[in-house]
Amino acid sequence: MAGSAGARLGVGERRSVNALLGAVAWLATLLFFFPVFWMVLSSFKEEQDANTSPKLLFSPTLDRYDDVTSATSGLLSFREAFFNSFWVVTVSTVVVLLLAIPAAYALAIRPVPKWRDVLFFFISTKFLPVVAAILPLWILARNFDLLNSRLVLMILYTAMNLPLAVWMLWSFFREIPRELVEAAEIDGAGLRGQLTSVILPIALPGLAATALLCVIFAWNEYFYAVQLNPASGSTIPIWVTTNISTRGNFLAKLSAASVLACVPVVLAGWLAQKRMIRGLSMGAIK
Amino acid sequence: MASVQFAAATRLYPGTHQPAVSHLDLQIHDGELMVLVGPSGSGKSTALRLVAGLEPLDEGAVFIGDRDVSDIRPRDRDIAMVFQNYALYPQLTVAENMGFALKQHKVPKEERAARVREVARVLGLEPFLDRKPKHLSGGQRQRVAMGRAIVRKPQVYLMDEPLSNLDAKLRVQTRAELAELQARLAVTTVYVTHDQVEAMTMGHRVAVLREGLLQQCDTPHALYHEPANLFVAGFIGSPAMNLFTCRSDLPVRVGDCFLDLDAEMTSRLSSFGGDRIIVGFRPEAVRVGEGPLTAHIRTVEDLGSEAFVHVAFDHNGETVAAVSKMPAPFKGKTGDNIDVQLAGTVHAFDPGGPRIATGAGRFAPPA
Repeated sequence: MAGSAGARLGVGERRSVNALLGAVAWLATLLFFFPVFWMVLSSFKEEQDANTSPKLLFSPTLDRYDDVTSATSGLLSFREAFFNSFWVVTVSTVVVLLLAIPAAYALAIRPVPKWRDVLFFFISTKFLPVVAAILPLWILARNFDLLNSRLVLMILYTAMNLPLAVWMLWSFFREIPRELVEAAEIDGAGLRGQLTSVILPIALPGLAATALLCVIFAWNEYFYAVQLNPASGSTIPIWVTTNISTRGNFLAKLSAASVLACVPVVLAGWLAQKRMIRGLSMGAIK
Repeated sequence: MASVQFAAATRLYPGTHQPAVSHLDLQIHDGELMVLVGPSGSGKSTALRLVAGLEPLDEGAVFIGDRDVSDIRPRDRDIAMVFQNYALYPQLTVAENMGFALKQHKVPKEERAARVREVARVLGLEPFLDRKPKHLSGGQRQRVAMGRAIVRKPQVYLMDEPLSNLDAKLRVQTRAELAELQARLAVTTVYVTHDQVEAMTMGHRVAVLREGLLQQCDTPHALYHEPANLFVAGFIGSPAMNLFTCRSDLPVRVGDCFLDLDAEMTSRLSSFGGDRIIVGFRPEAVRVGEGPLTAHIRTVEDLGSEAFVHVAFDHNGETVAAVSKMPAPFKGKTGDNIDVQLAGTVHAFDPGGPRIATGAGRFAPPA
């Protein structure tokens, strides 16, 4: 630090501070990335290599991927789990958007009375710990004969992501100049025309960001799935845990399963990266 | 085409106590260009939005032609609006922007294209039909916004400060083009602006609003020469009218001079009950260089064609300012003592607002 308060740093000092900050940033990145890196590395190892002392040099093999993807009778297969996840995620995300778009319109573009309270109500539903709700949910699911069905997860994931989607879309819709909607209204567009011709095309990056987050949250969800649908109709996170066995070594297999579980969301995130960053920063750009 | 009528139209925004527009009664004739002018917060934009249907009425009614449109949706009112920021759809091309309303009204594609092309030709927009709004200059965007309104052939055009985002030179040019276009199309137009030059040059009639209340609606000439009250007198005209508070005893005293007024004005003032009046006269009625009133020059603004000479003199024990519009070049400079004469129209206002009398007047030396 420079001597007196308020004094500016010299060029040399500034450079060394920057270098230090850079080093800290790299360290933090590596710290976060290392476990993922190690998981990917382990997934290409033989079980005994993965379980013995860590080494970087080994002959990589795809056998563990074969192991985890080949179906074993009586157990949840990768294929089943993947398609269960796919349907649960797709349906819940589509329903979330179908409900959140008009809700966000009513809160942002044509604010209903007490819209702030409504908005707060939406987010307040996230305050309740999931574990506190699980027993009533389980009883309800049992009474409606929904236990171990994909439908129960579709309903719960929709409910889980809806508040977040309403909040996100509300903040994106708020950025749309009011005059554009009014111009469309005067030009003869009804509610649907305003949404499809004006609001959604402009809020598309925001819509993409919202959809992607819903997909990621639904894809990764474990707690509801393990409580309400642990059987054959279950999803990828449950399938990953089926690769843990009580006997023998399973670290490399589990790593391979985890990598497979990560691939779709990483891929989706990477593809939507540009859109998503624009969407997430939409509120920041005037 | 149709007339537009406000009948005791009132709009009170939720959470406020003073109506943004209060009991507005105004008749806009078929084919007329009516300018609504006023300072910010005067309710001019709200009044326009009442016609558009973008704001609900709390009381009264709005008619387009013979039809009470108070409860009719904006899209069913057969109006077109030009917004201050143009509100062009950013994802659509110029042609799509202009054809948007026609598409919403299910006009066949060929007819749509033909009408867009025709309006684009009139406005000189043909080379830009395939461009997106972000690739246009401010002036071009303004034209597209105009084109989008024209192509619809509506009964009424509503324009909300459509020139305020243009630079000064382009604004003057577009102002003239717009007035010419309106005259050619002869479509009833309600035009909102805070710029009184725009109001005076474009409006067939001008309605001056203040705090939601209509102050006066008349031709630009009448507004300038026969302002209904103190507010209109001070608002219309640049530089503003010179206004001085005086005792109402005759003869009226301004500075160390008396006002020599014509007979009619004298008789009106003699029957005025109050003890104070506001005397007003326009800068062009003030002649600097000779006259009975002694003043000193505060500053001279030479515009090339004319000069605004700001002078100060003692009036009722305090120093007051006045401005004179003189032909350029003007010889005097700041700090000079100079004689001032009044040669033109004098207005007298009740301090509460209304105009009491107007007539010819001049300064006369103290007896």
